[in-house]
Amino acid sequence: MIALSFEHPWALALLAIPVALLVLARRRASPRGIAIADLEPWREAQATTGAPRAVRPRPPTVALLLAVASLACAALALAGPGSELATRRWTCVLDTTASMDLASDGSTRRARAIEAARTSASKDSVDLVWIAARGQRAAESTPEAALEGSGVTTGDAFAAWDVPSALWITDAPPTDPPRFAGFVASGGAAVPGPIAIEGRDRIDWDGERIVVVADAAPPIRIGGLDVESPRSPLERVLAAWIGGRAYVTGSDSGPAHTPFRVNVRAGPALGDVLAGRDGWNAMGQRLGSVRLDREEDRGLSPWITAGDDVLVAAGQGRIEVAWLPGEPSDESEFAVSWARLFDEVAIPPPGIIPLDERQAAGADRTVVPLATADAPPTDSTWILAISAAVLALGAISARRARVDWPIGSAHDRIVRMKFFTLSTLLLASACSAPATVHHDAKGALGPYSALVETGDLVFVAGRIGATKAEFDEEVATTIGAVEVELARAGLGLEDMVQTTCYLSDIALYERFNAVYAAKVPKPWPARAVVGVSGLPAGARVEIVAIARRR
Amino acid sequence: MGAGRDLELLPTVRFALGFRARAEALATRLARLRATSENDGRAWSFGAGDDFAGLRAYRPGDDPRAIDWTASARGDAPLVRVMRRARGGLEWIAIDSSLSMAIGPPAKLQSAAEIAAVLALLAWKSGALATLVAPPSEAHFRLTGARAIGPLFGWLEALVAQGALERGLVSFPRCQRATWIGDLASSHAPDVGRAAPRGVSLFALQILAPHEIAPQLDASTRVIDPESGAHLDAGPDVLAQHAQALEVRRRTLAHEFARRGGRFARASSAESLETVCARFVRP
Repeated sequence: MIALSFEHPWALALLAIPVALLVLARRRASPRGIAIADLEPWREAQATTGAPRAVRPRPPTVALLLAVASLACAALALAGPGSELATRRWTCVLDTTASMDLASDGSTRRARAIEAARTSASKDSVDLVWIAARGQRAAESTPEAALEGSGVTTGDAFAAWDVPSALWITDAPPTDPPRFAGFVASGGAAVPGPIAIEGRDRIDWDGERIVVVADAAPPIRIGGLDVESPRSPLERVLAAWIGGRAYVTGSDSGPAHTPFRVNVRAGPALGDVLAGRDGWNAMGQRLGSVRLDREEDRGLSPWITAGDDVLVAAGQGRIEVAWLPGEPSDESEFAVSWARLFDEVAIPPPGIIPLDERQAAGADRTVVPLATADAPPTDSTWILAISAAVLALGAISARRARVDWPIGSAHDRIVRMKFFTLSTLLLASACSAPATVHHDAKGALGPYSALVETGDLVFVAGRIGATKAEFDEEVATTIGAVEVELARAGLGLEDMVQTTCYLSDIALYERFNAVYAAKVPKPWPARAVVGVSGLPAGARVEIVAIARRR
Repeated sequence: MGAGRDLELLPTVRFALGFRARAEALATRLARLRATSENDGRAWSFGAGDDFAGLRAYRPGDDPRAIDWTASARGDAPLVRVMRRARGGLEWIAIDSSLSMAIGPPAKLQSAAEIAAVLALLAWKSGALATLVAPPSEAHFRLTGARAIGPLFGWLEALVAQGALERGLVSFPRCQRATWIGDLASSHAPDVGRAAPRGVSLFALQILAPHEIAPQLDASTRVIDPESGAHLDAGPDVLAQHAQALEVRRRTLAHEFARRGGRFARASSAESLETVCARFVRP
């Protein structure tokens, strides 16, 4: 989501000037009254010419409208408008137990934890909402509001908030560490923890700051999945999840990449043999509940359950799967449900990582502001400033030419407003000139920008991937690098319109195609593959991309 | 009044620094001019008087009714009677100070007060006793001598344009000359014409603001009478007819006043004092 912000919001108050000008002009445009001692001659004149015409307010002049527009543009230019990615929102889950009220150094643990969360959130442009860990309640905008009411925190209450972007405010390390997106903060001793997984980066809270641990999730290889032509809904989810986590698929499973294997069988008997997940079967259909109270169901025992529902029951030589064939599927819930399962398996919960261990990690972590660092800057200030200047010229021109509504003949319009016409053309050309924004390339190997935005087009500089990995993974990480750059402009791989791919060995063309087809969504952008004698940093593949903003 | 913009009304009188000297100099010059033109060093006479002073040759611009046909028949050229007024006569000067005189700029009341000052001084220099009144107010002032000149200007500066003239309010006593200075709107012009007793020379000077004589109208103009609050909407299409109606009124009033042995003149409040007085007080 894009949000509008201003560098100098106080300058918006200057918008009152054009508004006041319009109000004043409106007052002045009201029917002009002149005092005359003797109305009789006027009445006689009107009797001669016919019925008098009703007096109407005069429309504002062209010069006035241009002047008002110019002032408004100037005020907006001074305010320095810019768009930025909307801030993230985290839910702070407050421990309500009595130990949080223990005071030391003049403040309670809860107060210190809340202050720490607020400080970090403010620094990193993250919005916080607050909720007490004692049941399902609506989040509040302040901790005080969230803490109103009765009830105490239980262990289960925190477990219910083991979800991405949740921040636990507690002084007790949880018995069960968060699974994959949970997080722990502390009001007593610092108990840092992960907040969320984005791609393969893990976002942590180190007790004071928000840090991004790059490539925290181990690289894995997934076999048994045809990502090019997924046949079932589950395969589609799996393919999307693999793309999002930048994993590699393929049958070649080396010793370093074997923790995860998914085999999806397809066929008419699919529903009979596959287990469900949160009530979903592999076909994306919501499971019902297996009845076990009938005579013929004796010998079956629950295998997979969801609450009180038995989704899959198994017995000697028999598997019963409860599913409702006619019920429409909900792809989003289905995808989230299964993707969480994959995350649980692929990314083991890190548990509670001691603060000193995190600090010792040092260079492995990259501290980045989460919300606004990659906000695409705009040239709107310049456009507004130029608009203000040109509109001011137009206003002066219109006033000098005494241009007013209605403007006379076409010839009259051109002759009297030639300067104004020129000014308008200048404005149009200024506004239509594409704004160009350059994004720095961190750790660049040469003098170049990683990303250049101009108008609707986004140019991505040549990207390379994991040069020491196997070729397939190098291609995948290269495409992932392109995707990361595109994300800085708010775009994705699907927005690419052209790519140029350089291979140090053109014999790898087929393998490159396989990975490329799996990673880049259809419709594929125009592409050129060029075999070259060498690439920087020993890379075997480099990709240059052009994307278009929709 | 229905108009979106405030009307410009200037209801008070303020004489510029040095105006008294300017007015006195103008009055002296006008008195000398008139005396010279009438070949009469003792008295001034603009228009008819009571005493026969003599005959002189007709000059273009003379009122044809002043031609002495009997005397002219004896000679080859037409002769006109020169009448004079004996010193010590009575002059009445009425200044319309109703609210409509605040119309301007320049304000009509300001212009009327300046002209009244000159005419009063002119009367005094001619040996007449000038009395000034300012209807619809009850205020009046009598210029009895040199010591009253200072108070005359103070009295004029105290005038305020307010109220409206009512029918029958205007009337002059028997005197040698009565002068009305005002805007002579249609509503009270006939009253002014009948305000002087028979035999009294009645002079009327109509003062109008420049925009009353030649208005600049756009498509959305409301014409308002500040005294009554009556208004009408007018546009540029009626300007020609308005000018024509105004001219018809001027001719009618001129004829009416001339018929009674007086004179009617119209002036703009933007005209200079010297121009207006010279035109109005011409031989």
